[in-house]
Amino acid sequence: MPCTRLIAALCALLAATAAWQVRGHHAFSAEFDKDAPVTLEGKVTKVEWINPHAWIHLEVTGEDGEAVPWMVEGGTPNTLLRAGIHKNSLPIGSEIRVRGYRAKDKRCEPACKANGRDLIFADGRRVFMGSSGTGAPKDGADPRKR
Amino acid sequence: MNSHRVIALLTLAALGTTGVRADYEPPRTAGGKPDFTGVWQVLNTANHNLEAHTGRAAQIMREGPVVPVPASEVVALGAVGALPPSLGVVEGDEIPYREDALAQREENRRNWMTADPEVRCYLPGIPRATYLPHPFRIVHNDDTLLFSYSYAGAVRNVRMEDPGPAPIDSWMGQSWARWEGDTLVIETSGFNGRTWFDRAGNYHSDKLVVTERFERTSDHTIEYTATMEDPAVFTRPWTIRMPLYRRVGRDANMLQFNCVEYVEELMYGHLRKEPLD
Amino acid sequence: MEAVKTCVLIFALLLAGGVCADEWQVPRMPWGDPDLQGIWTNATITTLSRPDEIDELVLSEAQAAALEREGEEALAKIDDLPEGDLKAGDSVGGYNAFWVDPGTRVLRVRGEPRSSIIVEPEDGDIPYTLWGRARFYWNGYKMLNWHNNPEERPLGERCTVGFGSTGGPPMLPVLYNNNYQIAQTEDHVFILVEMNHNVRTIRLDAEPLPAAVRPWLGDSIGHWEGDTLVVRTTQFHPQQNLRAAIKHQFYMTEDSVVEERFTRINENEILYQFTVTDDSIYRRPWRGELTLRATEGPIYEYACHEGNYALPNILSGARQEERN
Repeated sequence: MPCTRLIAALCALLAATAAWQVRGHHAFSAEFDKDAPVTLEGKVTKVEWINPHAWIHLEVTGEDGEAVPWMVEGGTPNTLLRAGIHKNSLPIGSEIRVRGYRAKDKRCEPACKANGRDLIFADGRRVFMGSSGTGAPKDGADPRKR
Repeated sequence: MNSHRVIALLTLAALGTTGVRADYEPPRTAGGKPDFTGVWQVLNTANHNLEAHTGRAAQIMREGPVVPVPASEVVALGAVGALPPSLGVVEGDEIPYREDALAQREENRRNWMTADPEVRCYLPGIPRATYLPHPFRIVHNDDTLLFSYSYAGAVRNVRMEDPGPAPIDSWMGQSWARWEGDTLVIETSGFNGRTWFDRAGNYHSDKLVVTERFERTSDHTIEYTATMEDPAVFTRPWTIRMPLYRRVGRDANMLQFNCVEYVEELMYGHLRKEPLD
Repeated sequence: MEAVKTCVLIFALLLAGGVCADEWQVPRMPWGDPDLQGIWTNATITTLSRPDEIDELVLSEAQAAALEREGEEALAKIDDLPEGDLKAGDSVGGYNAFWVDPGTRVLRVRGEPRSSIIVEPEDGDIPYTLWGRARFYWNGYKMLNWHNNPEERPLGERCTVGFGSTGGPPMLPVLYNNNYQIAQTEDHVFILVEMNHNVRTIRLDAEPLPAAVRPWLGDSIGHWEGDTLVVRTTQFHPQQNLRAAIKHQFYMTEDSVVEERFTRINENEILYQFTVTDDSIYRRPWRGELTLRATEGPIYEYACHEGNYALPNILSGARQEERN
């Protein structure tokens, strides 16, 4: 009966929809491979302050001693700016450690790509947490912030 | 000298560069400042090339058997792709490049189709946003100064006091406004160095500081100048000057030119499951 | 005696009307319209639709506090992963918590804590018709599973407008950058939506644009009803239909009509009410309420397309998976 089939189809779609992992801008699973975790250590070579995902470029020394360029996806820089963070909060040349998952596209052209699940300075401090800002979300809930 | 001639000369003397009376009284905000609210656009081809140039068959050319001819990528455009001549908008006619920087300008010019941010609908930066062939709107009152551009939906929310150095670099830079008498002066810095001045490859670095001056010269014109300082690229500050014209009536409805969707085939077409030929 | 009575009556009326009290007065632009200018945010942890486990629209303060605590804990947990390499197959979210700014508080409308943005229908859910719901799910399915062409991807991913319904209308809170700047002239109201640097141009008492012109975020025409700005938006861009983010997922069509009402109710708040009407997909119009709260500026640049690696990564990732 067509009606039953329609309901079944709708249920299948509903199940698919329930699995939405939309983190805002795009679904994590659309861009990154959850079966390819990666931990990177390297020197920051460039930061692209682009929305809604800043990209941090790293030079990582591979097993053969060769420098491999990586670029790591972060979140929206505008949130950081509101927390008082600026371009010198992550200076070029900083040594950082990144945990994340590789992009589904593993061709490394022009750089290998991953998401930056956790960003930590070599000395253990969290990147972007040591700023002068409070880090508190500014949702205007507190009228004193006006 | 007859009296008609005297009147004509006196009239000319009273005219500014844009042919309007120097004692023009502009509409004012409640706080008494000249009001720049409106939809404005240039009537020039500064976006093709800020410097004076003769007409040419196309933005990019290749060697021909007799004279240069349009490059193969643009030859199909015919007269639509041709450029009219222009007197230029640079005071003193020439942009004072450092020698090494001039070589980069020539390189940019050769690679226009792949290197000009406008081709990819990237945010235009300042001052290019002003003289793109698209209108822009100034929303102005005593508390607010907002520039809304048709091209790419670019926007500039101008601060009313000096906010200090920009926290990060950006495409449109960080702008703040001050007044010199009735002249609105906007200083913009904090650029990321990825925008150009025009389709002719004129460019700058992230050290660029732009000082723009807006002066109302009639109900329908603004005299606009922008002075560029960028010691990494230029030997001295240099200035462009042009009138901005008010769009009126039905034309004052500024529509969107959200070109992001128009360049998807150019930028991502090769990533389609079935690329078009 | 009659005169005394009348006088008392007048004073009583004046007092009741708040005229005599030292009350907050709506600030005005020099030409008399209410002043809505400034930087505002609609960030809140309250979602568009009501969560299944809650029946009532209005929450107690205790309920609200509990939800706020939960939200805070969930956010704190993001950064609490165990040391060492991440595990394959884990779903651990995209990045550290400091990047996001989803708001910290339950939505309060005139001080009243709310369980959903939707106030009508009473169940707090979007009243789709069967056909409307099918279109919603079908478009959601496509968004999740189709990676063949850039035009199939959601608008936020393509950087044409911000994600979800941040730019609206209706303008709804998302995971971050819930900031808006309002600027006014005598014949226009402008709303700069931080994502994706879209300026909503609301023409006051104007004629609709020609039917062939369908702007992103629609064609908005406004008028003042007393001290309330009423904005009617029609002629949506045909591709602006699915509005999907973490805190709301819904479907509109290019012919949906949105009416928004902006009322400044105190120094720090604008009451934002909206009604969405579309007989082709909804059984009845649905209505929502939010509070826009004054916040610190400025609105920062939201360059997106200029460094959009995500869209080509998603497309090229799909191409590579096809080859494997």
